[in-house]
Amino acid sequence: MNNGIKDQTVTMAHGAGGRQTSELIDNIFAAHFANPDLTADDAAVLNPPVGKMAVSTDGFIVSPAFFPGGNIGKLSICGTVNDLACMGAKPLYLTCAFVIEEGFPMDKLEEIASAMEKTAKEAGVHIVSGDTKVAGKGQVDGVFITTTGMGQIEDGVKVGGELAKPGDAVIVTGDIGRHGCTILLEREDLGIEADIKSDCAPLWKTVEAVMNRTHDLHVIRDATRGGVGTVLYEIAKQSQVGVQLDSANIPVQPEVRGVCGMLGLEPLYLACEGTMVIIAPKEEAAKIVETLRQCPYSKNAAIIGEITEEQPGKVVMMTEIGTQALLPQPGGELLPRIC
Amino acid sequence: MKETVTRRIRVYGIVQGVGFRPTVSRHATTCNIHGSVSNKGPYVEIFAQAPEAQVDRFVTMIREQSPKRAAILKMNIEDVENPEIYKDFQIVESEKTKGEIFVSPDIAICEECKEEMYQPGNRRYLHPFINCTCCGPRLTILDALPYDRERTSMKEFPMCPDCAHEYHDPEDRRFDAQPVCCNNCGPQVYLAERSERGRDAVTYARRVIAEGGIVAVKGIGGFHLCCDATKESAVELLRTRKKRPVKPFAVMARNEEAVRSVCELSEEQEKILTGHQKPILLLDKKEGVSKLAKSVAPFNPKVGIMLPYAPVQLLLFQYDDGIQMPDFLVMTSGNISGAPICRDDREAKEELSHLCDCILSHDRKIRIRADDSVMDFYREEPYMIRRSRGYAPLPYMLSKAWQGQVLAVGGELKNACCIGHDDRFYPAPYVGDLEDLRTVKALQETITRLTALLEVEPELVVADLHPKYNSTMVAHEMELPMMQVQHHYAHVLSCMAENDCADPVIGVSFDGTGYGTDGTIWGGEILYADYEHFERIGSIEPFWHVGGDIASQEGFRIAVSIIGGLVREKENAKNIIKELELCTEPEANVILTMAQRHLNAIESTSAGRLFDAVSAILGIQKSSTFEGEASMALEFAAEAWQKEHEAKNTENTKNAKNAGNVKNAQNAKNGKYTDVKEHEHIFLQTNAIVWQMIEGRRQGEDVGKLAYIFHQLLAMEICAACENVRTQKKCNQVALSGGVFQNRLLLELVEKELLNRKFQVLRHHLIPPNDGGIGLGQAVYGMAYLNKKKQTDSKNVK
Ligand SMILES: [Fe+3]
Ligand SMILES: [Mg+2]
Ligand SMILES: [Zn+2]
Ligand SMILES: [Zn+2]
Repeated sequence: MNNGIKDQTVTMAHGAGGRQTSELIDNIFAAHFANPDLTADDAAVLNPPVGKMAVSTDGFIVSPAFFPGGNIGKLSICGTVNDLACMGAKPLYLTCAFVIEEGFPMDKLEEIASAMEKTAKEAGVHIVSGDTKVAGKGQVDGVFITTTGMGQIEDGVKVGGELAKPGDAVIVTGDIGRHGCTILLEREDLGIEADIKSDCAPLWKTVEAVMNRTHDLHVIRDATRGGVGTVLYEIAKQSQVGVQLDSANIPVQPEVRGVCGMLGLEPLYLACEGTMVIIAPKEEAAKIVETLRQCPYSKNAAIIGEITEEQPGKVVMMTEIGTQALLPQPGGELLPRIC
Repeated sequence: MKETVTRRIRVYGIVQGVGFRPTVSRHATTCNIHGSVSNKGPYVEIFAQAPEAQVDRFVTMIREQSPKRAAILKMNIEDVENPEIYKDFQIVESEKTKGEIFVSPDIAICEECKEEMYQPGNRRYLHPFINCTCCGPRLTILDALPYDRERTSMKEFPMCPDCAHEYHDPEDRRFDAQPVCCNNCGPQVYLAERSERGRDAVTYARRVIAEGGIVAVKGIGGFHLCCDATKESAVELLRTRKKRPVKPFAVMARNEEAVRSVCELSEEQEKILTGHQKPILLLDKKEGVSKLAKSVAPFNPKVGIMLPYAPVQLLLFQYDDGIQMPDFLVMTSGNISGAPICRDDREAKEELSHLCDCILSHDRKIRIRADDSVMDFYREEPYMIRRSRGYAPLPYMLSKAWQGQVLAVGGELKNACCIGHDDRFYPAPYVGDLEDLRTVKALQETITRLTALLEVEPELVVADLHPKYNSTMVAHEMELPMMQVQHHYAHVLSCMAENDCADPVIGVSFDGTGYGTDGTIWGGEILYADYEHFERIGSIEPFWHVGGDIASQEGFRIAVSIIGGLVREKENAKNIIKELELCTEPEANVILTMAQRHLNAIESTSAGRLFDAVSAILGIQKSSTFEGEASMALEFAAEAWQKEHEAKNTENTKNAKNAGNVKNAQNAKNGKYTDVKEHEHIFLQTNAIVWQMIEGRRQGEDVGKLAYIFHQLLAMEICAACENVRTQKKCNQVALSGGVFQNRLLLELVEKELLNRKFQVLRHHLIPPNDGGIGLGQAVYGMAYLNKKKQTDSKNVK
């Protein structure tokens, strides 16, 4: 049994606070998360950021924990970093809490930690504090991770869901629905062979690039759960404006479109984990998209519509055949409406 | 000398702008009556002073010899105490009062006007807006009541002295005709986005059509897209531009003879065809070669056909410019798919200019849209499919002492809202499918205009139960007390209301999809209902509706899902699916898995989807390009087989009855259901029927025959279920509603069997069985609720 911790599975003892706990922490977490701000003390002691600070916390549950394009570790960093980025905040510190199911393979846990390390590094964020709990078999499904991020709001940036103005352009930073589609295909045994990977990516650098180009931004939102459609409905309600989408301009990977066609799903309602909605004055839109297309995770950025004064609170999809479909309100069950 | 009496007579109904007052005045002269007649808005008020016998005769004449287009719904007669003394009989103007309101629908051009229009030398020779007291636009030009020129879109066109003279002369047939006008003073036709006006515009448009092009034409209730219906290339062009591959186009025929040359026309149908409402009639095509282009109504034994009802439409057929015009024109609603029919130049330019070669418009504004009504026939009686121009907003009056004001927003597809005021219910003209934003706006506009016109301030708004219908959203946004009515209950209510039936009924609601009270999708329901509640007694057997709205277009998905439910072993199911060529293997896999894992799947008892599925299973039609296409194809196949085998029919009927393992039907006959416990849900044995279809198909049986047997077995199941409810509830009255009852074969089979079993059967006539009718059902429910509430409230106060 001393072949090294990596051949083991997680046991209740790993969560009991004793030797095995420190072994786990040292071998898996500390090994990957090491940075000057991460100490063995009870709390991290940090320098406060200049000006305003953004804080965000998020719990991550994903089944399966490993999926094409990433795993729950990468997701837990991206999710929180992206939430901060949406406020125009440069991510500085991150804490993470793990709840691990008894029997979880240690090598998988390490893979998760390693993905976190890599993603945090890329995002320029320090993991400064952590916690580990082990739950009995069946009490959780694999691993749950909760991360909390702290970021420094760059000077001169004020974005928020209530700031969309009629005439603004609606931009997505990439093609939509890939994460949701990936998870669906992994989770359900649909027998569809499709080359689809989650778009899971940390987007601070992307947002930073945009902000370096212009500070004239109104809303930035990551289109996670509920997808772009849900986000747009939220913004429409918060800002009391209408959203008019041009279906021909919405970037969707053909494979994603194909799967959605088979399942009768709308890509606008599938989750993204590396794609944001940006709403900005029309005059800024072209250079924002141009900037985005030069960043690694937003090569497919596009202007997909505009904010209107008409139909406050609603999202309308203009199609190529000239229909102006009201996008169904998000939430609840998917119900057929055609009689 | 006999004693003189003075009576006040109030006449309610369509009594405005139909020449009612001059007629009354003439009757007064005949009967030697002194007094007056005036237009009060909601009613016409008459004071009659004469010996009693004369007054009585006068009243009888008013009642029995009213003008052609008048419709008297009620007369109130009262003695007047201390009357003024009248010296003669006068038509007087008076202020309008509030009260019961009746708005006339638009009326097709009358024979006299048509004759004048083609009379060289007549003041109105070829006048595109000719009309009289008996004909012309009404609802579509009306701003407010009473119906006077200043309150219509004709107020922009002051009458010339000649027209004014006719308008003011009680002896003239244009007396009090609000839209009266002539070539000198009336509106003008013109080409939008071009310079041609008047004659030049008409000729230009005719030439475009004659040469195979497409013209948008503004008529009474909106624009049509028009082309030569006898020219394949023209119709194909319209299909390509409108992106409408097969959905039938309506046709306008030059005259009745032309209709006869391509369609079968019964006496009853002829009456409606030539009548003053001029709906589109669904007529059986004549066998053999037709003058109509095939692509007008492909794969369809019927064609929707109507006669010209607006003068400008007549001018398209016949004018003095020497251009040869065909006898048939396609006249399809001028809209892009999903949007409401265009009603002004801005809309037409935006939405139609890329579909047509020119826009023949005019400057008389359309206040409210009115699509053409569409009517089928059942047992030589009108059976409405779309109730709009010519019919809306005539009210239904129920024998109930109800009081209150409600607005029902209607359903999601084929939306028509409805306003209820006391015992009167006014279904609005057809609005359309609410998936499109513009249609939602059109609904809001219709609500605003109609509530204003009918002077209603709703106390309550009623909507469908479906949480995601846009109509439900519209209702929410009205910020009024709101109620939601289950979709299929609303269908049954609409049928009860149309038949003025307040007693409880067994409601057979066979329909597409609707949201059920249990959060699943319903649509093949047996209900027990009255105006206040319903109970769901039974339904067809549930299946998984996978893929949301897409499954409503692709019936094969439902077929696959049903087969997956019937055949436990997935491999077996896949083999059957393969054998029936329903879809590819990966598709089958996906659908079966979705159904199994309830992924984007919802439990459904939709009869419409069942028809789609059977259509796919029988290889008749696997998916639909327009709503109901696959189900209709199934009906047509069954009817074609029935027609061919009419003689042997009785025998086959027996076979069909004995064929199935249709337990319910059998059991019901054997009386097994007499002891079914109350509250036990009845399942119509539809799985067994589907299985029989699958088996039949695999054994290579005649598909038409199977289609027919399907209808028959389903009808038997429905009747058996009704039998069951009759036993449980001691109720003998059945109401048949829901979009599936547009299927006349099913209707016939069900009705026949129910009558055999001595049921009383209520069915639709002028209210559509489809979702166009549910506004009425909702309104009646809301009104019943209001009145019950008022009763209990007043009791509580006591
Ligand atoms: Fe319906
Ligand atoms: Mg968050
Ligand atoms: Zn006339
Ligand atoms: Zn005139």
